[in-house]
Amino acid sequence: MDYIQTLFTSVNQVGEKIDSYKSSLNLINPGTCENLSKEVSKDILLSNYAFTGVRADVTKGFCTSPWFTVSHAFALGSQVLPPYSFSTMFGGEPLFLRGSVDNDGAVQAMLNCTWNSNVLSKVQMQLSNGAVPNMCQIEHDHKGKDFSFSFKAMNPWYEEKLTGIYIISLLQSVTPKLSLGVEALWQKPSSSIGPEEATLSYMTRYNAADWIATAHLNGSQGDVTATFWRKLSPKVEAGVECQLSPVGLNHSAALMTGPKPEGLTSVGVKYEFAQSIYRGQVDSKGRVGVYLERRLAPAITLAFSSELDHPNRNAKVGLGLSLELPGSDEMIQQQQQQLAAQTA
Amino acid sequence: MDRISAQKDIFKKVVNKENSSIFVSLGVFAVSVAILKSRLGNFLVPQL
Repeated sequence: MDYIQTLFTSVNQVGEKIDSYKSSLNLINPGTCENLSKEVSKDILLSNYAFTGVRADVTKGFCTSPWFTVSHAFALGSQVLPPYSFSTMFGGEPLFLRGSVDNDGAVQAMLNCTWNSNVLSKVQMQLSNGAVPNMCQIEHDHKGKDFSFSFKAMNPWYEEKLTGIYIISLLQSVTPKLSLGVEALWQKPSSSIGPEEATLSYMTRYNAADWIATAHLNGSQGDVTATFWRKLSPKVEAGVECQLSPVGLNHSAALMTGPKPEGLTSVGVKYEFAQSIYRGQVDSKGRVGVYLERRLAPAITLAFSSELDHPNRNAKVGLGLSLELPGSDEMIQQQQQQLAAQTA
Repeated sequence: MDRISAQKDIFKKVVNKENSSIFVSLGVFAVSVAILKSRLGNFLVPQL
């Protein structure tokens, strides 16, 4: 018994030493693997914002605590957005729910549950009877003092054997500015579709307060993505993203035409003013894009999106209008307070 | 002379039409990062 007690004491002492050493390094949480290059890929570059055709959204809020809104979205001339969709949003502590249904009957639902400030679970579902496949995604994020751990399961199912796509990722701070991460993906389709596949990805992020550099290496295909972000002034941010692939950036097209080395670098800039946000982008293939968003009145926002593809002589233009109708006096007051704060 | 032509051959093998896209992307990335990191990047900030 003495031996076991001694062993436990030794293990505890080692653990305490590791903890005290980590505390002396002043490490901070590095963010999640999913948001490794969020500042460039999600905030500056246009991939999440660009649209074509005409779009109109009408949103009506019913209460603020908990937050509950319904919205109708209309789109014309878009290949991505459905002509009509109805969505609702409910947000409070600890649940956040969002659901939408479009004119083809495709249903999307999302549930976020915040267990505490460091633990978050998400469930997303997509059900349709059209060309888009049905999808269910379960995700669990855990944020530690100096690390982030995430588990994701896409279409998990058990038919004789476990099938689906499973992703585990870990991002760990090694110094107050530098963090290293690894992501493991295991894909097991049903036996009729194809063989199982496992890949490892490696990532790193250097955060020097006014600039951030990240790199991501996909271990199996050799794809490399590097980004650089810098805050040039309180209202201006700029970023660069470089994607290199030895087999081609569009993997499904590469299967048809054969592997071909391909690279793409996009440079973007974002201007954020009190009533408007401007985003501009140019890439190494000669495409130029712009996205402008301007708040015309407290409840009306106008968006303009455009992309010019010079080598292919192609152009895409989009115009959007968003109306946010307050449903109660409390919401009108809140909107006016926000407007006053922005103009101050 | 043979040495120079051998070096040219190696260069042609590494940088050819097939992977020119990779080198163009790398060059644009390097130049962009250098501009943004230096004071030259401040030309993007409007002087209102």
